[in-house]
Amino acid sequence: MNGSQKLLIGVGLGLVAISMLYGFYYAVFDEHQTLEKIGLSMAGGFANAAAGNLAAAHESLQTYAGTRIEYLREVHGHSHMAALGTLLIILGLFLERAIATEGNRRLIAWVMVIGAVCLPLGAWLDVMIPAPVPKGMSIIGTFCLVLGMASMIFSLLFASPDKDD
Amino acid sequence: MNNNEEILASDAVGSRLFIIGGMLLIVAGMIFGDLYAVFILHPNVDQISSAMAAATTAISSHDADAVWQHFGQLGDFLENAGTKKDTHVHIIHVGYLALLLAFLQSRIRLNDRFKVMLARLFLVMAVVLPVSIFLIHYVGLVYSPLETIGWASISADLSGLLLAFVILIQLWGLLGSARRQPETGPFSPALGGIGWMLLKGGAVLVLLGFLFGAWYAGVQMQAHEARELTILGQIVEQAHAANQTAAAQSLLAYGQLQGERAVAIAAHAHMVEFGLLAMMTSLIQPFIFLSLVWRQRLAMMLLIGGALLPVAVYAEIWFGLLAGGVADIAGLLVIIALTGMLAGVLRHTGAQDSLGEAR
Repeated sequence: MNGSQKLLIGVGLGLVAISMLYGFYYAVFDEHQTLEKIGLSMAGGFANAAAGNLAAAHESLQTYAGTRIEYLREVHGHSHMAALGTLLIILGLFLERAIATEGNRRLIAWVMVIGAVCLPLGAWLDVMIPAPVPKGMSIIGTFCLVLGMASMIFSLLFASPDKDD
Repeated sequence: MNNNEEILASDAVGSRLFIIGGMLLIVAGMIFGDLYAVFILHPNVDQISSAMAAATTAISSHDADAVWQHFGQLGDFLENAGTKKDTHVHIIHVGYLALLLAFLQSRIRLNDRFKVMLARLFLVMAVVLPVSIFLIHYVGLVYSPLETIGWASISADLSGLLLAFVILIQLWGLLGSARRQPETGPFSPALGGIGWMLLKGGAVLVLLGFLFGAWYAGVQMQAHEARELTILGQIVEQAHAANQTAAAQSLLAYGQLQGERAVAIAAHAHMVEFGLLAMMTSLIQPFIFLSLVWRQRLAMMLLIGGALLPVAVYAEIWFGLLAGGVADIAGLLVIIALTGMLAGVLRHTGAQDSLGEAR
């Protein structure tokens, strides 16, 4: 294994494992409570309106909206980390065939790794830290992933099959 | 075994188990997804809409008890849909991981028997996890020792934890190998024209999925989140004022918004997932024991289905069930392509075994 492969496959497996461990932690300690809060706050909004208390109804709906955004960010962090970890492993397997020089491989590997770490981290931090830090991380992550994949595709255009079918 | 060209030659290190098990899981997940889309998704959306409408009417009747009752049903419908979607996603993703682990086995520094044991453990847990998620809705809290988590959830959580441990052990074995062994030739098998076509097509799909996701997150996501709160506020106010017509219109807008969100996220996720799948299936092309024409057909089917499905899913906003039908057919194309490739892999392993016996 060369350096860029070690980086991509090692970080890829690490991200998949972290994503699974986070999924375990989230399912056991947080998900059920969050889903219950989402359901109760939305139903509470409607029930308060039925009882004639519109101020309380809007307050409950605000809680619903905030909790739902929190839930979506947490789930997105988990799913994006697993998918991007998988992508890094795939790229690690192919990189030596797609890109000729180790210098270029290492550059693309680092760009992809930064993107794959920053994007899900940005989603998770979005519910803990106020903007702009999490948003900035998500934007950097997205930019790196698009740049890295576009570079990979550009290299693949000039690569040719290793053998006949 | 250091050469991935011989990855299916025997099952000494579990690679064969991982490849065949991984492909079976992916095919099962896709068939489940197509069945879910055709038979469960749309009736479920209707049930959710009816429960929301009934809860809105209960506001106008000032009947808070009825609101709670309708939301109880709504929660049940949402759990039904959510666990089905999670089952589909988790089967496919553990299948992807199994397929990739097959190609890492030759570089993982662990005892061969231990590797086979890990492969078996991974595949058993890869089945237990989605089956447990599927059962969450049906088992509920029956005989559960906990207040909020049922036995099916406990089983899903534990199988997920064991899968994570297998991945961590594989990472540990890989790092040990990277430290001690010099480079031993290319990691991936040599690819022919079909493999390269799948690799390029898959990479383009992943990039398009990233660009679509970036556009959605940057332009639409927060607007959708804000609009949801606004519409819900309008629904409760209009229903409280007994303005049924306006409340019904707001409910319609709420349903439309949920539909827009769902198709945008599904289009993004499917674009990336099918891109990853195409890239991964390029790896197994050397092990598909079928004629060149059939391998080309299967690869084309996979790429066409993988590109068409996300477009059709997104087009559901404008064309409704017609686009949904096209998406289902595209999904079927991918399923047929993958099943054909799996048949070719099984033929390859059979040929390898016969060769081994002849020797």
